[in-house]
Amino acid sequence: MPQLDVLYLFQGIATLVMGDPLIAIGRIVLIALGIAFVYLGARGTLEPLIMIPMGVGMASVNAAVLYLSATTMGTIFIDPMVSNPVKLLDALQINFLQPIYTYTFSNGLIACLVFMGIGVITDVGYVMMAPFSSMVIAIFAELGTIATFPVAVWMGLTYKEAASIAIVGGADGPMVLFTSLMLAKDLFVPITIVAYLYLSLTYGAYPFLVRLMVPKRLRGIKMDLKSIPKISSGEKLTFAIITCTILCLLFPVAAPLFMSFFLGVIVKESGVTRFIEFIEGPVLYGSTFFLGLLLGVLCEANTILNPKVLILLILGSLALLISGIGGIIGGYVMYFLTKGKFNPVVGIAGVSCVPTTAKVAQKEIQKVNRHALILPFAMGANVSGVITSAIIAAIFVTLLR
Amino acid sequence: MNGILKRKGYWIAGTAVALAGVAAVRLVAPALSYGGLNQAVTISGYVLAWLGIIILACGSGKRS
Repeated sequence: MPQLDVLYLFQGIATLVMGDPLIAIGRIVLIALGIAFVYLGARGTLEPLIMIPMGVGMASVNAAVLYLSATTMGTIFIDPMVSNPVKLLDALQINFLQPIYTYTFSNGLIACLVFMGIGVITDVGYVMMAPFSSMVIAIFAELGTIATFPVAVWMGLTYKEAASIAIVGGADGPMVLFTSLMLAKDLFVPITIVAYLYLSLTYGAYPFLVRLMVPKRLRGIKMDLKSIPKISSGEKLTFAIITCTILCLLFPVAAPLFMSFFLGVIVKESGVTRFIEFIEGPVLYGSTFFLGLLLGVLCEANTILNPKVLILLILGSLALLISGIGGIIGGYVMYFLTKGKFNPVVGIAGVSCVPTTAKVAQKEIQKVNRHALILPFAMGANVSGVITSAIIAAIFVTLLR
Repeated sequence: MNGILKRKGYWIAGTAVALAGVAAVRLVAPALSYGGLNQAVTISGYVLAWLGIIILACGSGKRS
């Protein structure tokens, strides 16, 4: 009987022992992190829709490194760095997730599909009922994006990388994915993971920011819901198509994102049930599932262990923190403009994590005053935040690409 | 669509202002040499387009 080489039999362990010790430690940490994501996602502490597929992908890919040839190590999941057409053709036939990555990730399609789904569950009527306050708050809530950009450049990132991480301040996952794919392809994996990780944490962290910045007396302000106009589907549809055309004329580079979002809105308002069910079900959940899974699979230690990751972690949290502060400042501006009739907590909803931040605002207000309902105003700021984030992303891509 | 016809002034003005913004950004600004005037026209264009969208939104619904 020939002598059995255990390490040859279990190549996942062999590559761990034989490879660079730093990468080996990275792989073990990422496997543990993947398992933690699955656990926290299943418990509901982190967003399960993203974290469960991402955690499974992360743990599996780091466990499944094998010898592709006598000297090279890799996986048969995906090769994100392949660009040579011949090698790409090979990769498409060998790596089982390569077709999804090549045909939906690297061209931004998956971000557009998620955006289409967001469009179909979004009611633009909330923006149209209070356009001025919604837009003002949304602009203030971009403070994190604007302020983080120079800080990122100061910390040594290029303009393109700085813009990609600064967009995390807009708190919109698909937008971060789209911008980083357009501007910083080498860093898009860590940037998008940082973004999705932090976005999952906003639900837990923003209530503390609200309580810190808005005194209890102001948190209880009741807003006038009688002044809310009734917006018809026809008006929403007309608004959506005109706004979409104007934004596409202004920013052709980001036109796929605008078109996807407003297509979702228009499908919803036109009431075509079959399309609504298709987009809000298979398209939205299918793309979210593969987005999570591929982000996890892309977290292979060799790809993600970049010296810039620590900087990205700091900048991502800074961007979201400043955006939250900016949003609340916007709420205060509206409070003073309306002579005390506007609840400043609505400002946090300007950070466009739909509908998480709107729910945070409503929850915090109801803890102080059970009869205060601000959700329509918060949703208006929330949807405006999505549009404003897309505009800022478009400006960055137009100027820096 | 009755609501739109009743407040068509807002819809027409909003669209016109937003399109003027687009024209400023995409047609006028590129024709100017790079510098202060170019940047001023570009920024004004973005602001106009944004204002146009707000005016459009104001044309909707029964407001008290």
